[in-house]
Amino acid sequence: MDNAFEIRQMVKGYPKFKLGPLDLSLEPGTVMGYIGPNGSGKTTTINCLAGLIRPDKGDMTIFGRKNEHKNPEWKFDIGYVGDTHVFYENWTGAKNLKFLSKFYPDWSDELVNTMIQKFDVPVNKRAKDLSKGNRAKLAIVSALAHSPRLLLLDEPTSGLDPVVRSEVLDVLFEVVESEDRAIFYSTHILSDISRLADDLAFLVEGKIKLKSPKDDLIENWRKISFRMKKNQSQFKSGVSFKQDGREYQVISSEFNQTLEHIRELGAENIQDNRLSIDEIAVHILRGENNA
Amino acid sequence: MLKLLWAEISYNKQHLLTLFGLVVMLTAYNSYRPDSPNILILFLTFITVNNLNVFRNKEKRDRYFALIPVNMTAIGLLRISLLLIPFLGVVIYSLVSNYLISGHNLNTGSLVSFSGLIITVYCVVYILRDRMIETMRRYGLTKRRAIIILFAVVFILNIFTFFAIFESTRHLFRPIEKVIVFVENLVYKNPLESTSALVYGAVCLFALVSSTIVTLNFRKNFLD
Repeated sequence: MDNAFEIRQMVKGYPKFKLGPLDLSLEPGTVMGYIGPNGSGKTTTINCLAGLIRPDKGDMTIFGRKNEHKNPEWKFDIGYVGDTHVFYENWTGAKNLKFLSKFYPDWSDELVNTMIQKFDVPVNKRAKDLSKGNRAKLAIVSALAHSPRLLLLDEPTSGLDPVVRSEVLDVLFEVVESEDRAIFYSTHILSDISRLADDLAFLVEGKIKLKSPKDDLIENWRKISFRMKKNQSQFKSGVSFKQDGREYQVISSEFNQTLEHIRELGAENIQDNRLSIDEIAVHILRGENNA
Repeated sequence: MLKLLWAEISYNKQHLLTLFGLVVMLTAYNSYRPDSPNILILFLTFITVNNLNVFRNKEKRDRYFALIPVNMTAIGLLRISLLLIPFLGVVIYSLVSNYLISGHNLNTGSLVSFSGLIITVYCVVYILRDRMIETMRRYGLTKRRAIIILFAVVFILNIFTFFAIFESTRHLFRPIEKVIVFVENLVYKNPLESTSALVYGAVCLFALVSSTIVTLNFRKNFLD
């Protein structure tokens, strides 16, 4: 079965920034969080996947089809919500949805009505009169109404106040959790996606720093505290450490390897704690992982 | 493509109706005053087309359409149709109505040549926008500087287009005189009298219009 998307050796250059070479893929039905600081290239990656930007090199496929504009069938399989929500501003939300429905054979008015009621979107208002939150909700309805197999979400709650943001995320997750679709969610706020993600990919300065199943990260990354007579400043798979006399605290990206190593070194009173996914992300984005 | 075209016409119907209302009034006025410069009609068309473009840009229509499952050739045809339809509509209406009402030909030359000129300007802007802004930004130019350079290029191209379409190149080194001759030609003289100029203009226009579709297919950035 084809991957939801595949990016191979993709490069996109700007005067002061270069994304890639990037290799990344997403299996059908999987949710991937695409994490990185502002300016790391997350939006550029998603824009390339959605066809809004053409890369300089490399190629991309969506469910096995090249994402090129001359054969746009691949667009049936994607739903895209970015931080900019584009509509016919003088038309109502309902008219915008009706316009879009003409282009998708799998468009479901029933699904649209369900989502409109659930999200409480005032579709009779003109798009330009909608609040930011309602524009985001309308964009989500537009993106989901044709039941795409791949959902590309590029910081869809960007610019929203915390209350509206939480509301939009709740409705988004309510819909996407109930369906078996691939989701590629870019954000710099890990808490937005951590409960939903199967995989996490960390992007730093245009390069993938680490890609891993979320559960593996939680399993492998530990904070290990122990006592040791010997002075030591290097630990296998240790990404950082603190020393206070004979007391050590090591952050490990491969718990078992580090544990074996410190045992060999004669460590005593060994205790370990799991890290939260946010803590792990901070270490990775700071460049402290050994991956 | 027809779905998009219908949507755009429907969305801009107030603009288009206002334009045609004014054109009808001006044409009626012209039929009683055959010597009046009917160029006003085309200025109105120009303003309307310009407004349609401003709306399209402001509402990021290129971005919207790039996400819809329609191929770029269709979107290129749409873009050029939205340019040609108002012009052809006005020109055909003006010619036919004047002939029927007053039995004399409107200054067809100025209508046709001025339409060609404005369509040329838009086509060149489209081509440069599709191909050059991205390239210029790649080399570190800001968007504003890129746009200024593009306008300068368009302006220079227009001057040469004027010369090429309306006259031979004998006055090429006398630009001031040339501009005066051009304005006289535009308003008072019928360039349709020159078959070679007409053919040259038509071929150039067709090539330009086709190029806008090609360049859209190669455009690298649909964010705006």
